[in-house]
Amino acid sequence: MKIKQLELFNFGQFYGSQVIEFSGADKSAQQMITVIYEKNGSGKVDLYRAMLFCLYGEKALRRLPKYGKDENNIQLVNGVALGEDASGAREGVKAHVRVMFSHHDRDYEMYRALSGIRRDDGKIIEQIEDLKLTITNKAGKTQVWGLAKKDAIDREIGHILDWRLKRFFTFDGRKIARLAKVSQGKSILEEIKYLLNIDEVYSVEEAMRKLDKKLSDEISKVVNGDFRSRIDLRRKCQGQIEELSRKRLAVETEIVNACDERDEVDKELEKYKHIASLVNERKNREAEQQQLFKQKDEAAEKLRHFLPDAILLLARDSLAEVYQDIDEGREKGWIPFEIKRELVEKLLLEMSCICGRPLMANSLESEHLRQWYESSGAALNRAAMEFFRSIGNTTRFSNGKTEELDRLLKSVNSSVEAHSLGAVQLEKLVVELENTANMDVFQSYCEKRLKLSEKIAALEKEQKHFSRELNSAEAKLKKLELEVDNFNKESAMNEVLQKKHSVVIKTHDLVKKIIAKYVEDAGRVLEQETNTNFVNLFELAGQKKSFKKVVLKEDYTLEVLNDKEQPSFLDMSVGQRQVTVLSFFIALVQAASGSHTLDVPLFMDSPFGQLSNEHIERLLNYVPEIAPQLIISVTDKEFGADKGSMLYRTGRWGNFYALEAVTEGATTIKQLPAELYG
Amino acid sequence: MVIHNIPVKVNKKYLNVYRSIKEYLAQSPSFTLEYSSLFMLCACLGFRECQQVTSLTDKFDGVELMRSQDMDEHQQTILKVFAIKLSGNYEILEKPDQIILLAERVAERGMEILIDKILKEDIYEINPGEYSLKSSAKRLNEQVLGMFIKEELERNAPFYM
Repeated sequence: MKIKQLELFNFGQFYGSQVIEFSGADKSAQQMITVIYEKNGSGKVDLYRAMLFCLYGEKALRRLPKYGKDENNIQLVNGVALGEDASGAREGVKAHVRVMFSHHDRDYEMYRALSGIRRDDGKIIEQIEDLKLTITNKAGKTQVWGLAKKDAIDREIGHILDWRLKRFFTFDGRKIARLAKVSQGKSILEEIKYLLNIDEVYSVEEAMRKLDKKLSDEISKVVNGDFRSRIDLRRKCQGQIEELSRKRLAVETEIVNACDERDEVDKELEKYKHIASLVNERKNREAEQQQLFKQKDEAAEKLRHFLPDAILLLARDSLAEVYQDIDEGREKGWIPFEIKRELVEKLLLEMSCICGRPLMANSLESEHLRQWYESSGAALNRAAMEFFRSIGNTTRFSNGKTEELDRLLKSVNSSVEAHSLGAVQLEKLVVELENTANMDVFQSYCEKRLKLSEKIAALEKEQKHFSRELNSAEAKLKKLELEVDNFNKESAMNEVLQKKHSVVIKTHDLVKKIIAKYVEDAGRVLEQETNTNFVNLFELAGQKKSFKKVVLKEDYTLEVLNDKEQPSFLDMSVGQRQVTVLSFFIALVQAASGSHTLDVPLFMDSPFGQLSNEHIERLLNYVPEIAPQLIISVTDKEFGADKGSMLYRTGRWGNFYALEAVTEGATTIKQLPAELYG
Repeated sequence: MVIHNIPVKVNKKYLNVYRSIKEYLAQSPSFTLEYSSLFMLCACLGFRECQQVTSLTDKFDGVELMRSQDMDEHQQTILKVFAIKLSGNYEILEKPDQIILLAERVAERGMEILIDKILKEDIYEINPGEYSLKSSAKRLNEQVLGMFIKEELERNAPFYM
């Protein structure tokens, strides 16, 4: 299948008539990539919705919380056109989608039209007006089928584009990014089950389960004692399992819905990236200020403790003077260094010299000794000697304290200054944030996101709890079934009921095994295709391959083994994980279409995500090998000059369209030259 | 020789000033600047101004701020140095009460200098003849006091480093 053209008229965000022609529609076309560029967050989703509406008559892409569970809540007719009609002619608004495509030498034109009107109470009523499929064969012969042949149209479209493919051929980059963060087994299992298309088998399994329960109830009426208690326990256990399964499913559904809602919030938050970076900067500065305050406090504390020592420095000159004075006195003999005053007194009393020789009264020696004694009276006392030592101690204590005072003062001054400066800068930032437009909107989205994340975390915890309980209940049930089986064999009860029940249990087990086998086989095929895609997308030129292969585990989570066969999904970068999940999603399309090479175009919404440039290049070179057309929708945030020129260099890029919301609810499609990125 | 158990007095008019300074500097639960340090600060400031004391026998009408043993070894050494310089002899070392008396005199002068230099805006008369500090003196933190000590050191020795 190759899509040639999509025409919208008053559909979704698109006001009036808007057309996109897709590259690669011609058989020999080398250029098969179409880029749809979305500038201000509107319209992309409606393009996919238009495709699905036109081809299948469907409104919803998937169940989003804001639409509730009723896809009739989705409005398809353009709101601006409805508004104009409501304040003008009041004749209703006509809208339609036309898809032109080719498949196996035939040209198709699918046309689906509807109308809408806004009532006085604001409610919008829409209805389908027309359906037409025009088929032209190679010889030029044309058939036209209208509304009366709706079933035939559905069958024809179903043959060309398997209904399962509609779920897979649009690649939601955000979903892939989310699964890359934590590979969700439940999401992957759901995709596999959808792919298998074995709803009837599931219905049989459900019927067997109900019949098992019914027969158990009947049997329990005819038995008693231990046997009855085992049967009752088994029934109770089955009830528990049912209940736990139901609860777990409800929780898992809630998780998916909450994740979807959070993705929507993230999409909105993208528009306020500039505010987010300011808020982040404020957070960092606040942390910095706290640190500076702590440093300031610590420096002040040290200085405070030092003040008593600093005060002593004011007396250091006087200390030095007195110290020098005493020291000089010692040298001059005021305080004899080796001779104590008592000794001098003793010598004078005994009139004997220090050497023991008697002193003569009035001799020169005794006169010197007496002078010596009298001159040392200036500072003779023991207190002076001790005081000399004290001064020395205090002087030594004060050594280096001047430098320390300087150092502590510098430290306090600089930390006070840094803190003040930081406070000024923080204040500026706070004012800037307060004056930022839409700050309240941004904050409310942030709060909402936080609440959703908390909710998801709590739900995941609950999910794990239910899984544990379920495993334990299933183990208990197995044991009970064994016991009941034994009782059955021993007991002489109603054989017919017993036989029936035994057959039902076996059949139920068999059906469960068949389903498990289907899922396992599908999983194996998917794993194989995923690895083929992985090898082509992942290998980086010149780098040693350290991630060997992708495996689908028993719980349906994706794992990547390195060359030592060790799990390493969580060791990969986010971009690498995205490549892994992307490989899996491409494998889903291949499995749904039954071939490695696809017969349908691939739509990729924001596929680049956090892929590295090498990965993007590999993606752009690989997909043209497996799909006839590639339609990429991107936003201005993720598609800059570098990605544009990378795409241009592949030589595969044909048409380039920009979606622009000229006013709210009125988007136009403008074709631009891809050479802009050449 | 430790000077033990002698009351150390300050002029009654300045008692509340000492109390306020101590209170305002007590910003940390783990540390308080004691009266001994405050008294030393005033004594050091005052000593620089009055190299001569008028008379040792002059009465000094003061109130007790603390006891002499509240001052550590180094603080007492400095007071002794002041006493030696003021009296001109070492015999005063054997007269601890006179050492304290001299210290009280110079500390009073020192408190006047301190008020003049950094507390002029904050001082007020709480009662006739008695002074205290307004709450504006709370700006007198360790940084202010530290800078003041540094300036005093530089004033007397420009190349003090």
